[in-house]
Amino acid sequence: MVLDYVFIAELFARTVSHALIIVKLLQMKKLFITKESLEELVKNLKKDCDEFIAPKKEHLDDIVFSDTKHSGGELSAYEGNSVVSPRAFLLPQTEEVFKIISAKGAKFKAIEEKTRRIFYGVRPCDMKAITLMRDFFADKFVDAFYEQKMERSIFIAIACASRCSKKSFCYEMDSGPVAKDGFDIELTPVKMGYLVDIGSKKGSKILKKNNKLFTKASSGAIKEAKAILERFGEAAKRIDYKKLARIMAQDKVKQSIWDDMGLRCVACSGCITLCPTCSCFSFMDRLENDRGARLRYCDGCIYAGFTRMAGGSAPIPNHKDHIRRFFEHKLNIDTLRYGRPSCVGCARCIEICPGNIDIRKFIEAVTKGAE
Amino acid sequence: MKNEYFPKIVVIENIVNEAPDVKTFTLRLKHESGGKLKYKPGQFMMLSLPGYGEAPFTFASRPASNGRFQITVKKLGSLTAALHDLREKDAVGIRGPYGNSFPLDKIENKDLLFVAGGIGMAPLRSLIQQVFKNRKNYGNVEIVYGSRSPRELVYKDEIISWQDNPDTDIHLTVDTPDETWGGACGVVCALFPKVKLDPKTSVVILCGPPVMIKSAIKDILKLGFRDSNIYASLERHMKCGAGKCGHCYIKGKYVCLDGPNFSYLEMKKLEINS
Amino acid sequence: MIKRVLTTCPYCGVGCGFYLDVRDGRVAGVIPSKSNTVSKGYLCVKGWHSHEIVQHPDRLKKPLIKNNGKFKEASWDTALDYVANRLKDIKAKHGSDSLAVCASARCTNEENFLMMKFARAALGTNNIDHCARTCHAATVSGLNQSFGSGAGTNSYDELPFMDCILIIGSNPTEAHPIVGWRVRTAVDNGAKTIVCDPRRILSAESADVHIQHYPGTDIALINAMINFIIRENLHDKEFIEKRTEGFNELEEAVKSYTPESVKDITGVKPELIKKAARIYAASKKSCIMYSLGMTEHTVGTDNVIAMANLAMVTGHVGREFSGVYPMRGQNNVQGACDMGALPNVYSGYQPVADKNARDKFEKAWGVELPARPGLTLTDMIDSAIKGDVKCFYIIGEDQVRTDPDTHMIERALKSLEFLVVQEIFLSETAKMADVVLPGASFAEKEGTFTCAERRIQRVRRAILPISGKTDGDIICEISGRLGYKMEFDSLKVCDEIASLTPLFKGVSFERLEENGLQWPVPEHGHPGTPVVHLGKFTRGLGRFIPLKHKPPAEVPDKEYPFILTTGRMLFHYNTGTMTRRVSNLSREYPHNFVQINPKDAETSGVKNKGRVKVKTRRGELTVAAEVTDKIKKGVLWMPFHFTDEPTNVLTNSAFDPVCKTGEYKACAAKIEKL
Repeated sequence: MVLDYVFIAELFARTVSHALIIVKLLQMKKLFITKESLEELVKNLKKDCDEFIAPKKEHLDDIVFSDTKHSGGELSAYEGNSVVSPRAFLLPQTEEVFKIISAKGAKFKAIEEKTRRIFYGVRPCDMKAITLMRDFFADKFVDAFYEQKMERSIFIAIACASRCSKKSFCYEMDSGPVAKDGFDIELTPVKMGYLVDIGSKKGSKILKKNNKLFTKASSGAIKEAKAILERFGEAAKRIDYKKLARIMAQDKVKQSIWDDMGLRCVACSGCITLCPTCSCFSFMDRLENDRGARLRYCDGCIYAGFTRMAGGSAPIPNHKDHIRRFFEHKLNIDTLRYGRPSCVGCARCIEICPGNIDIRKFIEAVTKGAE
Repeated sequence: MKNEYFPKIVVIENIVNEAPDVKTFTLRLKHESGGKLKYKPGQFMMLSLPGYGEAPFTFASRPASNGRFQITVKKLGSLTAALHDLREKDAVGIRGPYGNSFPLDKIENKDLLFVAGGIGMAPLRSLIQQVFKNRKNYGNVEIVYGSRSPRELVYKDEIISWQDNPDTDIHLTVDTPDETWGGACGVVCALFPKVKLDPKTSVVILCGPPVMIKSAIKDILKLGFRDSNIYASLERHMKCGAGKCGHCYIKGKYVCLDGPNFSYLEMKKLEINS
Repeated sequence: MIKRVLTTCPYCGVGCGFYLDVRDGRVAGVIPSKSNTVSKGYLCVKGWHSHEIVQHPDRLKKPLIKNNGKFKEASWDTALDYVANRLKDIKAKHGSDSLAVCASARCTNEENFLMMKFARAALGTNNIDHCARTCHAATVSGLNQSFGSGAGTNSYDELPFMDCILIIGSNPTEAHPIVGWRVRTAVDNGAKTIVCDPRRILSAESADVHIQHYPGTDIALINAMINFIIRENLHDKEFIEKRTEGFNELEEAVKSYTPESVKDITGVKPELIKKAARIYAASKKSCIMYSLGMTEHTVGTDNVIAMANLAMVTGHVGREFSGVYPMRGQNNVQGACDMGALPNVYSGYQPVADKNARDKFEKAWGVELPARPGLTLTDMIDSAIKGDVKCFYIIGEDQVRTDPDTHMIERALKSLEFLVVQEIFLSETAKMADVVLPGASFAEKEGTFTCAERRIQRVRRAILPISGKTDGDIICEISGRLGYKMEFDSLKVCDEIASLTPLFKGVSFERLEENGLQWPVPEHGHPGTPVVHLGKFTRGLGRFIPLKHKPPAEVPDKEYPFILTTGRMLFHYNTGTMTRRVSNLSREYPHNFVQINPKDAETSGVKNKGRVKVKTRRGELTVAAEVTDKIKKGVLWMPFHFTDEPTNVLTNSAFDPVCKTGEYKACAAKIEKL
């Protein structure tokens, strides 16, 4: 009886959230672009940017965001997702923040980031991550390096017709298969072409400039898109992340789960490097004789040295607590702070973890264990 | 757009050997960097030494009208070692000020207990100087200060001169005395029984190594001081000072933004004790 | 401009694949390749940061010539002329065999082939060797005797499906993390693991059996396992009958090694040995993984043979999902061996003493080649001290820091008339050189590396050589100046290797493009060989060789009561010339330390993080103590990555008589509290 009730409730919740997506679709989707016209649009867009960052097939099945402005080869209708998210361009593994003209004389020269980028084919999960990151970097002290790049960027998202990997859980984390905001244009693939959403002024501008390439979407295409997106979430259930945060905040996660993680994590730094919402960094100076640059580089909580102080005292001495910090920041504290978690379910951290740590399984174990 | 990570240039005007491996640097902003630096006691700066990177240092002197400010630096790693090798007139970069100040509005007209260990006297000195500058705005002041040895007590002469202020008591202690030492021996907590302030209304401000803060707060609470009246200046690994780099993050708070000065009430919420 | 260059990791012998992310000529990051068969998108912390050292300001950019004890920058022409002339002079005065070349496990196959060609054809000596001498030479000599081929028998991708993995003298999660990932996956899939290590390494935390035996007691341990397996009738009689020889001698030899009788030698409870033996023998898919904990002993070769014995007794070799996995330490130490950067063989292990092989190479290279095998690295050091060897040409290796007994190495290098070191950073060895030639990093060259599963993979150029020349260019230019022309184009060299080496006959850059090939590749179009000895051992029948336990050259006594052993850590790599220049790696472990058991710490008065002096008969070193129950009582452990606090001043240069590998893993030591 109880089981049945839970099942019905779940089914109901699923239907409701589906209905919401569909309503949104019907309200917004008005435009359509054919595959041929999209090629034309891409050609035009490339003229107006310095870098056209798009998913590209590299070796064998590897899909990686690359600059295809000159080389071409960007993927439109593609399955899967790029190994790196757009974060690799907005907060790269290493970047110069200013030049050191003279180390001895403490003379510095500012660098301004002026590259105009178009991010093309961004998946909804990554799109959501970008909106979260932007909020963070613009909060209180504005991070000029991030903000300048954002201001000069255009984001063209492509909704997902199918899951990018077996391990992804974007739908469950409420960040797929369509992007809700952050994009300038969003494309939803259907058989004959793409439904088009305009999400910003930048997007409208592009539309205006290329309006010959767009047509009004047919009801058939809208129906088709609806069906595709419906299919996407069919077997899935949204994660109750508020409940998850509550359980974690009350410290009800079994100690053995953290202990196990401590014995799995080999501090490879893959998760913090690929996670589209990881924002931590450090600086390092690179000098050749008296000249050089200060570089910002990706850093994060899995290192003991990340929190250890110069004198050697360590506020977080145990390795398991470094990983716990990663999980708590994303799933618990950010949910309490912002009302949503900072995990978008892209599964990058799962797919590269040499310790087979699986954030999705963690979420399942925690929510199940508490019931 | 202002690049938060681009340092201003300061010149070292004076260097004083405080203690073995501890030096106090007097700094002044170069004119092209905007003249004066406005800060409050308890705030800190990111000091930039090209080739070695950056490290946080709290202002060790009260905000002065002549634009000069001090930091006291203990040689611990490569950056601090390189800093110790600098001379007067050398230039370095700074960013800031960052962080909150000591709870200046909450300490007015209150009796104050300062507890410091070792180099932890540096941030307190900035506030203590301010308090003595405006002596009548505050109640009784007691200072408990300890270090490993007499040689390692910083600002010795100045601390002795503080005693000349009215309604002020200074208690000094060292872990290991030498032949010159006639004062108390042992940890700072051992001196707490000598404190005569009313625990119910006095404000306590601490700074020192994590172990000291931890045990001192415990003992202070036992004496009846209120956890909302106990403040500690905390130290964490920091790279940006602006709440971005993530090193000093604790449960949604950033020591560089929301601290470095926390009341014990806040510390309990963050589940930290030092 | 953004460029993505697919290449192979320059660190350990696992051979992970990733893209270098090049932006406007700056190597800005690393992107893992999911399509790479070896790493499948996984990388360890060193791999994730391998971009950081490529354009590090400390890189050597110009040749340096020492004058009155001080280095002065020189042009390439001046330096190369100078080196060529000195080599010519020494050769004329003292003969070819007064010269010795130390090739590099860090360089590509093509470059190693050129080095061995340079030594043999241009200098006229077989005095060529490389750091495999200090790591896996025992594997080559041991497995060669037992199986007929001195490399790993099976492939990485079999590991996740094993029922039992026996890890001995190897720390996969730290030293070979992406193989460690496969071990982790095997455990998650339900495999049983047995870890034999004096330390409770990460793999031991999830192991079914952890055997903490004393360093240097491996043969006693393995013999006892074999003894128990035979006694319990767990051996594979059919396999022994059909595929091996010498079983009776082995059976006889292990008779006296019962689990009970080795208790005092190994310091291990008999029950644990029995449990381990039973799991290993009774599991259907069992393999052995080992590395330098086994080879770096005076009995290194015997240790390897002991494992071969164990594998054959149980039939856990010569088929899929079984075998012996020697985990190679360096990115291309397998390749440097394969290319014949060894004193006794040409590429593909063709003996220099074999007239047919020699004839073939003489014909191809158009010169007469020396027939007598040359000196091993260990012998070169001795000969330098004696004065027989006058000149070393060292490429990409830091003997002063990597070889045991630093003081002796320094003495040897000081005895030389002329020392050339080709390096990317000014290493301790380079500091002693007469001429330093700036080499190129992995990101600056085309070529191939061969990983521990015998897979030859492409290395691709991301940026032009910082010094202007690759290591291959330099060798060829010197060779040309000596009157022997060698063309350096890695693609053509690869073809030359294939044409002269039966093992690599079917190898070409074109065929390596997709995911490399596992040798042997005996024919054009051959798909490569994931498992060797299938159906039949390379030597025909697998050979059981009876062994006796021999204690290390130095055992604890009253004066030096501890066994000191050394090893690699996750965050650092060998002498740290690279990893200690990577911000986060260096931050994680900036200094050397010694691990000591809490009980020993108590009796020695040592406190955690306190300074201690570690002393052996060869030297002493002051480091911090790490008091931890992860190490066995009576044993001290130190990493060897810290060039400013060099552990190898302590280690013993006593070596294995067969393969000449030094005994890094066990010597007598004492510890003093400061």
